[in-house]
Amino acid sequence: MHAGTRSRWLLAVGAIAVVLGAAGCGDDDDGGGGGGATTGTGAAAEAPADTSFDQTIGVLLPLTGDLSPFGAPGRKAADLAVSQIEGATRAGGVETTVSIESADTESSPQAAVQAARQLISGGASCLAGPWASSETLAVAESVASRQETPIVSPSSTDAAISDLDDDGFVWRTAPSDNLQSRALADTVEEELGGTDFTLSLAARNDAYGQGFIDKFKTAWEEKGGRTTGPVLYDPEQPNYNSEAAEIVRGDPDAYVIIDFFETYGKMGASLVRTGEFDAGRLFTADGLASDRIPDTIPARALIGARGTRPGTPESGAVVEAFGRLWREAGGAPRQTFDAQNFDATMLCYLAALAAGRADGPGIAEQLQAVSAPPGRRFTFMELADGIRMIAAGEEVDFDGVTGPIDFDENGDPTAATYEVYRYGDDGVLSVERQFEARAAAE
Amino acid sequence: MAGGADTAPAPASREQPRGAAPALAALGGSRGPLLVTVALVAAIALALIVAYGLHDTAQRAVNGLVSGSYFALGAVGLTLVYGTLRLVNFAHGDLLTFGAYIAFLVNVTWGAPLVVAVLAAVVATAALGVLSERVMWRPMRGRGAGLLQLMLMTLGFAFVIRYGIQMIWGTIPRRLDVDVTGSISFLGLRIGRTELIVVVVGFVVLCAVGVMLRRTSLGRQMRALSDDMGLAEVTGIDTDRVVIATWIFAAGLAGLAGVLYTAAIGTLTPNLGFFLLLSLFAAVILGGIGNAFGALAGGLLLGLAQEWSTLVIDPRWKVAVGFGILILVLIVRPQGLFGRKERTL
Repeated sequence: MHAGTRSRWLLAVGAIAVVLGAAGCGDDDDGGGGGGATTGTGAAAEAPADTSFDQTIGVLLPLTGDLSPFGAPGRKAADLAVSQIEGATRAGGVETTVSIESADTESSPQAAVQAARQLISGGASCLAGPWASSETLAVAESVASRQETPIVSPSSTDAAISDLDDDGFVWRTAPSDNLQSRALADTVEEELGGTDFTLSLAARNDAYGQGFIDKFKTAWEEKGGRTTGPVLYDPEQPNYNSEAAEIVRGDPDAYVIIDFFETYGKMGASLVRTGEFDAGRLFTADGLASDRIPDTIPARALIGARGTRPGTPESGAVVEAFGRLWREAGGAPRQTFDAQNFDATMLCYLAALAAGRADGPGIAEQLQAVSAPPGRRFTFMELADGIRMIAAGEEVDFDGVTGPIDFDENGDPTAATYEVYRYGDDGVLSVERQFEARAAAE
Repeated sequence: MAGGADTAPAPASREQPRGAAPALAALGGSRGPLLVTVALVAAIALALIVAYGLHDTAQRAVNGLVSGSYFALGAVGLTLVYGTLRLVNFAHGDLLTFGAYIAFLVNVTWGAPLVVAVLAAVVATAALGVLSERVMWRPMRGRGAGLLQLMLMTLGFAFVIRYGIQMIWGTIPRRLDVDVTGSISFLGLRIGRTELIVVVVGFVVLCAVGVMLRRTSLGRQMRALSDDMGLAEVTGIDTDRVVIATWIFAAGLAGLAGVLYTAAIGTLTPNLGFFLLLSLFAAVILGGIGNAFGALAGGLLLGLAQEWSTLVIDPRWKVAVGFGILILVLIVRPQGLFGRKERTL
């Protein structure tokens, strides 16, 4: 998500970038069935699969550019996944070999497309990455479905990725913002102790803000709650006095504002200036989550505010095992979305194993089957058992470090862990609790 | 005479490059459109009061006044440079950014009071303006560079400033040591304390510049240059001095606008001026190019239109409303509300 802002921001920097961006979005992929049309979950090969193939997994990493802090930990996560696989293949009774090729996306959609093409021509049959939503959208449209190579993004949360016409080649282990908007509605209900309240809704007027708040509005009204707004505001305006007046009008029971820090510095100041705003009644999301309130935000605009953000489970055997693995390997410290990339790399291999061959269409066809029920559940700690079951043609359900994953038709995880956070009086963020959100059954 | 501004013949203004007469004529000429504009605004205000109540309309008008002074204060330098030198300065927005970052350096990094930071920003930005004149614009004018080359150079200059700032300070948002959340309540209307300062300073500065242009000999010389630089030189005006003075005013005011804008909204990023630039151009064109009072009126009208529109329609469309009005006004009066009709090149 942060990825989204930054690249969006870069895009706004110059007309050139805008033009290139538009060109990237312009070429729509060629037709094909809607959504990610993978076959039913029972498809995990009835006959024992061919278990001797060589697979190259491509890893698209933002090693340079805005998202460079994620690059090295992402690479390490993919390496760890492959070393786990190598350690388990013999015990699992298969003779596959797996290798990794990585390429730098430079945190830019154009470079990501270039890097993806390079990896595929180098023999990669499945790509873990890219990271920013804008990169994923670009690679999805101009590479993944055209060259029939699945991509599994660890960190793109933009809801638009769900609706891509991608022929089943675009996947992600990070939860969609759609899921988070429902999770936030649940959180607001729990925090307020019911839904018999009127919420004043507002969001920045972009794909993230508008998509999020619309979904939230639907979710809240389905619960029987009332809403006013949403007030959608242009992120580049100098002040939001009139918008802020709309938001606080009628003394609502709570506010739900979806924004990023860049804009909320201005919006927050305008809200406080109305003299009626109480941040203790504010609910927000991952866009305004930070270890502490940045000094560009008037503290009174956020102190006491609560919100949700995606998290990884903090406890549980798998999480601890992964943490141990990470420490023992040395090198880069933990970073957000590292476990998602571990899971993405793992799934690339497991799906190839289920398909019995390391080629794009085969992997794309099996990704949903190996990640979701029905089947025996296993985690990377029981990887050898999982591999044996897949090789024997049994149905399996891989659970990642980040949660149960359980891909849906759109290639999104249907379950994810969220944290409920709150800003204390000292401006420091504390996580109050964690919960697992599941997409409503269609 | 330049009476009904629609029919103001260009030679009329040209035959009297000095003396008080043209200034008076310009004042007289702007009275007609001024009355029409005021009448229209009053009618719209009345309609809004009837439909949405006095308080809401008045509060949005205050908000519009605030945005309007941002636009006006930023626009005045743009209009001076274009009016005097015929240079469409795309780097003007980034001069605002430059001023804001100088203030950040002085106010936050060095810990000096804001007033000192404001002065430093004005001086440093004025110096940058003069430097650009000496290094780029004067040699280019000397070689008879065309409009397009100059325009592209200003665009290039804008990028150099913006990315230079990014190189030093990065892209993360910064803030000045100012409390932007304080507000003042008057007759039930609220205005931010720092916003009020911007409004007051904006009005004072713009009126001062307007008077300077009309009453002082420097102002008259600037206007003479704007009519015809060659002719002004022949009549004995030290054009070089006047051009430098123009840059000191234009860039210095840009620096001031950048700091005040930042102090009022709270945060600054390297894109601050760039995002504002289009609104500045709109204010200039709406009010009439080369006219300080016009920039003030244009900025205020743009601000009022945007904020009042939020009563009627979704606030996210307010920018479109502002620019829609710009288009309408230009269809009726291509020279802008208070501009003189110009010869086309």
